[in-house]
Amino acid sequence: MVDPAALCKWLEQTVVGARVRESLWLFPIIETVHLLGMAAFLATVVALDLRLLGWALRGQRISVLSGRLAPWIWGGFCVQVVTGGLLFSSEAVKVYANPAFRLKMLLIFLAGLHALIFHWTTNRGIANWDDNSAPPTSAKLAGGVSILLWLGVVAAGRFIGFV
Amino acid sequence: MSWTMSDRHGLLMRRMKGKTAVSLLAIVSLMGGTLVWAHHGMAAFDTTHTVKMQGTVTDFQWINPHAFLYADLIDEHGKLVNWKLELGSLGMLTRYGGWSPTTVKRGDIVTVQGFRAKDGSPYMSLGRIWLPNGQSLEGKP
Repeated sequence: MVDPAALCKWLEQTVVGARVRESLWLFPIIETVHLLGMAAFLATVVALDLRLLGWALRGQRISVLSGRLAPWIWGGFCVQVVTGGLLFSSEAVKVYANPAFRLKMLLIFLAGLHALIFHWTTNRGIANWDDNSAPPTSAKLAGGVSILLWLGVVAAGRFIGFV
Repeated sequence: MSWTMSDRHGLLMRRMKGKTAVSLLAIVSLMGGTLVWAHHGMAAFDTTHTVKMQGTVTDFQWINPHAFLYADLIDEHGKLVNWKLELGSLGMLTRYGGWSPTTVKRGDIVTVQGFRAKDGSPYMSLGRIWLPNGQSLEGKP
């Protein structure tokens, strides 16, 4: 078992970690891309969640909407993992111990798990309510929980610098 | 009471728009609330008065998102403690503050002034520094 603290220390000392930490412009540039990635990811995830809630895009077939948004959701998520990883590498030891960062990681894990469970359960029966303007309660609940979890991720991330 | 299809549709549309507007407003306000603070503020520091101390630089870290200076300083009780001094961002320090990665070196005798941490730890937000060459620079330009 690898010691996470030792791993963080190693990560900070890599060329990448050092460059991001010490460069004048790289850090704010990566932060900018992280914000743009968040915009793309959150906008598309929330659009799908609002459709599941039956609060928006009610004329759209859910499976079609989710298929069209998927590249943006996954693309946005990948941008976040890469840019977030770079920012993390620059101050890994400090950030690893930060309670807001830990909460953010926990919420990302829960949001991912929640999406998987939705995919395996409620989403199995989608053929019955694909074009319903108001999907069943379980689907609505999934949309609402997903929105709350991802907003929590944003808020926890913003608090890393303050706690 | 019987409604025509278009009445029903109109009512539905109005309700839907209302709900969408409310939910979007809720999301935007939640996100906006977290984006207002540009970076971590001065909340951790006692900004009601400043402290001024002299000592020897032990380390200068030219790093994102804030630069840090470490120095052995003598406090008002005559106690020698290694202090952590927080500076501004590298961009601001470079463009407006006249700082560079080599402005301060280990071993330099400096005088520093700033706001100390509320929790009483040897941690300070650097307001101003006086360097060995007589030059004085702002800590958070």
